[in-house]
Amino acid sequence: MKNKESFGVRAIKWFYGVPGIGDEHVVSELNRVGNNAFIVLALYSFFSSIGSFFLALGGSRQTVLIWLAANGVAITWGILLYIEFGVDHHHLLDAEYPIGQAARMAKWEMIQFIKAWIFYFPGAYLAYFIINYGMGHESLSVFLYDLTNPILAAIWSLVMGLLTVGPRVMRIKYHKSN
Amino acid sequence: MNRVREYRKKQKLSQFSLAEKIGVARQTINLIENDKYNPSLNLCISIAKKLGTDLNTLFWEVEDDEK
Repeated sequence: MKNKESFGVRAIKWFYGVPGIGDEHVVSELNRVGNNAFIVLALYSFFSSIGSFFLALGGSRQTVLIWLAANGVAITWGILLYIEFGVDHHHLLDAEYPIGQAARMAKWEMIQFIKAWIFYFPGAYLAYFIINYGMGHESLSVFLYDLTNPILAAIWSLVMGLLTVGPRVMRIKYHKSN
Repeated sequence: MNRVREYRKKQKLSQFSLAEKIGVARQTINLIENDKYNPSLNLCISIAKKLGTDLNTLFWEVEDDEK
């Protein structure tokens, strides 16, 4: 039974940020989290598309843009946060490793932090755009072509990355014996 | 309730060492012992082999009226 994890399982674990052994229980729980996320995403996309259609018919250009950007934030951050809570709720962050693997796990945590930072960035930038555009401080062309002021978005996503990786660092336990 | 815990203790194995031998997480063994997770047939066979017993002994639940 002692088989190596397949590439697919390792990729799924990396995406969800699950530190432990990818056995059948972990994979089935991840599938459950993924299915729930997909259903929520599909329903949200459906209803937000209908909303976009009606807004495009009668709304102003500014309203449509804010609506689309808000949907972008809801989809990216919503799904990412749902995954975080789902993985935590299913106790998939509880991992136990020999103390000798602490350095390897620290490297893994750092990679997870950078991944979260990158994944949360677009949503953060869109949120920043909504706030500024709604207040009339930003134009669409500046947002699309110049990518102005990404520093605040980088800070927001940095905070989200830290919040994401924090539980992982705390929940991994190390033991002396092998 | 299955008898994995009982047979594991008979073999003087910890949850961790049994998990390591069959290539799963310790938490998975804990969940199986507490009837909170239904393992696949392959995993059941692996556990039975490592504990030196068979599937019936480990997992077959005898109801009172069957006795």
